[in-house]
Amino acid sequence: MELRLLTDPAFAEEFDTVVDEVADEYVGNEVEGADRKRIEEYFLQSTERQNKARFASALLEAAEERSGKVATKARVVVIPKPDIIERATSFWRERAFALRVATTVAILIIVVGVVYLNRPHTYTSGNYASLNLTITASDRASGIETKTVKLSPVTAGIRIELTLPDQIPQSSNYRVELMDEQQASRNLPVVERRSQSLVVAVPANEIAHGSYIIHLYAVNPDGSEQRIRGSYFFNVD
Amino acid sequence: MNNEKEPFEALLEWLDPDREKAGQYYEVIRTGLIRIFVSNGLCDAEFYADEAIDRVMKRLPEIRRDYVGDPAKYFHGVGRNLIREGRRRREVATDVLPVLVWSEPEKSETSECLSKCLRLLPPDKQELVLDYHLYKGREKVNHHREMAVELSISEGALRTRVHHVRVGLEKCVLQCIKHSGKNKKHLESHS
Repeated sequence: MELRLLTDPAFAEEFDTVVDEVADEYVGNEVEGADRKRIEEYFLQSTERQNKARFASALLEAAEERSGKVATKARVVVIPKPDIIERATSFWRERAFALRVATTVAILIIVVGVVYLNRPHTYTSGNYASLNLTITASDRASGIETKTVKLSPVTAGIRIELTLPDQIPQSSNYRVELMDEQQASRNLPVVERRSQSLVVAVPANEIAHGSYIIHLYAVNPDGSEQRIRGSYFFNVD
Repeated sequence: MNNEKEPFEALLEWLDPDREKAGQYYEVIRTGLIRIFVSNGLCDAEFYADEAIDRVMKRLPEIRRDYVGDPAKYFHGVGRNLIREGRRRREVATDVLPVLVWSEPEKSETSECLSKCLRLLPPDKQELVLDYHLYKGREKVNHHREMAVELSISEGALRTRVHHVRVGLEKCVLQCIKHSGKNKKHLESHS
């Protein structure tokens, strides 16, 4: 048919006549259901055809007016402005398939990367050495059995579970202080809080071989701290 | 100047050695391309038609020696490629489906322009085109038959006659809208 449009002027004229008739039937509400939808989806897609439909609408209206028929309501072909989602969907649909695939892959990589970087730091036993410590009343390691953790080159760090003593102040927050043999101290982040214990983690590159003490502080709502009596002891080998 | 004319002259020569026939053939191809682009939902069909012709002109030195067959087929192939390209970069806004809404009888710009253009027609043509578009469905078919009998012509001839009047009317309306749009802009810029 397209080739005939390029070679046969009579056929082209017939084609134009049919186009006018389809426009008339559409604006005259003579087509319904699937046919109507098809006209809207394909026939009226270009602005030229939309202008044709507007013209057809005005022509039918003028014919009705001239015959004395009351022009009940004017037919107006309106092109609604797309909202942002429609525009985005439409924009997306119009991209080439390869571009859509590439964009999807890129978005997936970004999403996975962001999720990975923002993942909660759960320390699995696979890469973190685990240590369960209970508090001892003494502040000195002498005379008590101290647990030792071995760090191999593949160990990412130490995951220490500190069992909370039975009687401690009701606190929603705790500060965990790590002290080495030279009495240098630093705070350890609490990575997990359970009903009877706290879990802290120390990356392997932040801890050397030696003996360590952990002090626990209950942080009150007003910001003041209260040291919990006793200490946790461990060695790194 | 001569360089600009040369490819077009070569194109006409390729279409037909007879210059007049070539001109007619060129016009058939161009309008045919416009119809094809419009039917495929592309806006600015005239731009695409000119682009297709331009591409054929550029490739003509390579193809004219070996190409066998109707040049229209070659234009059709280029046109199909342009449709594919055009669909990829089609304006976002035009992808939204048009909706026919029924409004209170307030004169639209198109209606106002149509009234003006109808007044420019001879009374018989004015009556013909309005009378032809009066009915719907079965009534419309019967009415067209009666009109053809009254005018002593076939229904097909009536259809063609009305179509010719309508084409002229539509052109007039489009020009009127364009003109009134320009006037509006002009008034806005001076207000």
